[in-house]
Amino acid sequence: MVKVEDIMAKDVISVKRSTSLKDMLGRFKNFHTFPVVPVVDDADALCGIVRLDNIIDIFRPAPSKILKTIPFIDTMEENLFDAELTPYMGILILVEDIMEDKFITLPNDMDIQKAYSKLKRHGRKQLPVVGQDNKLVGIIGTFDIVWHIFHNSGVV
Amino acid sequence: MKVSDYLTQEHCIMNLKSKTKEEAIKEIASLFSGSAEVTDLGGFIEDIFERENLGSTGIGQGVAIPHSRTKAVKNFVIAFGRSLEGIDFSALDGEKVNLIFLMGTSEEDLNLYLRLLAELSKLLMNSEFRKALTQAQSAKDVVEAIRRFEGYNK
Repeated sequence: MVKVEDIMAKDVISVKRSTSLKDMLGRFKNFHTFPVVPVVDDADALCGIVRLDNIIDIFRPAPSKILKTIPFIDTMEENLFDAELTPYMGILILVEDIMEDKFITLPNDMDIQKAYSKLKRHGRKQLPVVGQDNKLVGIIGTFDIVWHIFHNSGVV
Repeated sequence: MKVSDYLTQEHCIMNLKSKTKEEAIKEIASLFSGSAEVTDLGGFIEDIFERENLGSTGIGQGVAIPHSRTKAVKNFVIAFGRSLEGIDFSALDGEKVNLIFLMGTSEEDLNLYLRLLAELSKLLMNSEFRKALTQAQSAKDVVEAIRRFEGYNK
């Protein structure tokens, strides 16, 4: 059985609750896209994640008081090109403000077939991997699993 | 969505007595004592302290925006306090802080908080606006300055 920990990426860039938006974005400046970013506490335990969707949320307008009373309108369309942004916001918005604290993880000793099913079931391309005491130990994505299968078959 | 929709004259202190950051936060937050919008004043103050522990909201140029998204607040509240002597807020530029805007939003109102933060920080980037707050004689002057500069920025 191949476990998640056998093929996951162990060198993971994580942030803290207190990391500013500016610092976090700076760390991923040269990435092709914004990955799933684990948020860890001082003991390296996973306490949240930041995804690109959470960054996009910054661009959503605030619902007016009237709209807030309509139950089926819970989020408003983001407004990337007209949103009011200032340099101060890079410092004042923290990871804590935008992170998700309810999130899905994979245990390090999970079979990669099960891990693949879980990724698929939740519509995710990447998930953080935790070991004992909820400690962040890595990240695994669909591509890691696909690559492993190709590699095992001698394709790569 | 404007700051002037939320900041009233009753929520402005023109001459803070406080000498420290903690005292100043308590003094300004106390304006919400008995307010229907702040359901737990002690909890609100604690949550602002906790946010300050993550990183100072002293953004430089004599300005601080202590704030919290908290269970202790319904909707959104904002208050203003001015210290003539200046208060050490561990600000980014190391300078003392004279103009303090204290904000509180309910936990689920991320976008209201972000949009008002954008509005307020846009105003505060304008040195003429900061000067108007520094020279204001009364709470009425503060509220009027906000309205005036919100108009300029349109």
